[in-house]
Amino acid sequence: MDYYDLVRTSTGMDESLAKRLGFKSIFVEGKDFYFSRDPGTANGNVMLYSSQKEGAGPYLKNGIRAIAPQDLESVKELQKYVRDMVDYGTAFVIDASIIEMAYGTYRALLMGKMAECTELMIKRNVNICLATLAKSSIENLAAVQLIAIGEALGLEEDEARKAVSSNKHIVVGKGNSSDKR
Amino acid sequence: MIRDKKRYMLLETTADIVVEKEELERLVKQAVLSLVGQLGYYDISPKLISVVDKNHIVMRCRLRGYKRMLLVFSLIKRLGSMETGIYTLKSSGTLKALLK
Repeated sequence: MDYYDLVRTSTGMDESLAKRLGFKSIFVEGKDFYFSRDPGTANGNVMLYSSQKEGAGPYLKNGIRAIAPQDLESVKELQKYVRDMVDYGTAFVIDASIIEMAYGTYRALLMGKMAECTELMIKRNVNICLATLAKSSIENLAAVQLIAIGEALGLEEDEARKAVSSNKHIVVGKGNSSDKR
Repeated sequence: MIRDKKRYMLLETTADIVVEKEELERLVKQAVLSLVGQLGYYDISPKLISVVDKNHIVMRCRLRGYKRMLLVFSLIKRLGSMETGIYTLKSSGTLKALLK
């Protein structure tokens, strides 16, 4: 199984780093995939869902490809949109960097809510992606570490592996999409 | 006597290691302890085996705590005053196979 990661910056990213970390390729935001800044630019892009933003409804209607919640409140909120995500075929992206950079009790709460949300997504057959979405080299992780985070959030090992390998065809939109859920 | 199986891991740090081996081991153990607690620490039993160069170290843990160790290294972003990420490059059951 080939693994792919998604990051927010290309600084320090090269092919040798991707190989060392166990990825076939690392995709960069702004080059291989794009974040949606408003509902008008939602079609085919990824939504970074934070509590400061408006609801995910308009983005879902405009064809957002995937949603990555960015904080505790947005993870809670996202659970309301699961039915819409199923209807519109939107994927759920687990952003590992928000867990990495959280600290103490907040991290514990965030992981708990994220695990709850992941369980719901699995139950409703929503596609799940697992990526670091790293803003710097500190936030990068090896593929095995990413899989370990997935397992800590309640995914089975094979589900976590599949989530890391499906970043390419679900978020970037390249390759075979036949093995989508 | 049943011996515990061990797992050796080759790790890469994003920042250069500027502290002595003993100090580094103390910092890593402290970080592991704060993340998994005293009971989890026993399952992992981390040990710094060697400092390969300024960005690579070899650590050992118990096989049963391996998954948790991977998670811990994902979450460590600071060792003392050093801000660093830790990548798990490789892991193996023997030191010989790890460094091959």
